[in-house]
Amino acid sequence: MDRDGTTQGYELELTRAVADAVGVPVIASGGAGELRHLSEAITDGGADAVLCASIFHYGTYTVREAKEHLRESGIPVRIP
Amino acid sequence: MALARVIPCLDVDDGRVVKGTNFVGLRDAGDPVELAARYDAEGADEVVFLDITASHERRDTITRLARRTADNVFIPFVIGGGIRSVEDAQAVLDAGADKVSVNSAALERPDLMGELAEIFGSQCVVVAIDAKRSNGGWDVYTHGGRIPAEGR
Repeated sequence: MDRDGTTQGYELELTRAVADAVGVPVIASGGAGELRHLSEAITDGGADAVLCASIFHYGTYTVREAKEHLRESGIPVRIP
Repeated sequence: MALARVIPCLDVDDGRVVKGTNFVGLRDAGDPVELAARYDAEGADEVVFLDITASHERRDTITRLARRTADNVFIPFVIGGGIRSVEDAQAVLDAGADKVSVNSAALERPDLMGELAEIFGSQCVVVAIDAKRSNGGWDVYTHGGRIPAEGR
């Protein structure tokens, strides 16, 4: 919640704590502002998915740009 | 490694997309179905609609949204906000949603998650957790971040 809408990046420590504690897929949420935040959530936070609102709604980045960034970071994604 | 998913989240109030900062200061950001269709075309893996409508007609509003979305969007979509019972989940799933996301009700009655998973399958049940930093740890909040959860 502290990060929601701030575009400062996900709370990676919390994301990692949850990912380490549960066996179900984890979605990082709250704070995405830069494309590197998305790859960090997966590599450092251990998330299976990234949830974003502001960066897409206001056109900062497109979903495709986000996925191309993940792929360039070595993270497998579906790009149709 | 499974494919990482990118999931746009649309906060919906009374049928319109809104997005705020730290849950306040909402700005209007468009028609939810139009936005979801755009994200589908851009390659999103799923979309989430988080219904923050406060009115009594919320279930009608959200099921109408689910039906419109099902007709126009072909990636899985998730509906959250006000899902408090098997009946609430049934209503949006029947309207075409692929998954439900539960927040406050999962904390108030954790058994609900098991009941939903049993009836609809665990693949269509998501729990959303609103956490806020506090004294070196995190506190969990319910009701759109307004109420601290008990038993932390």
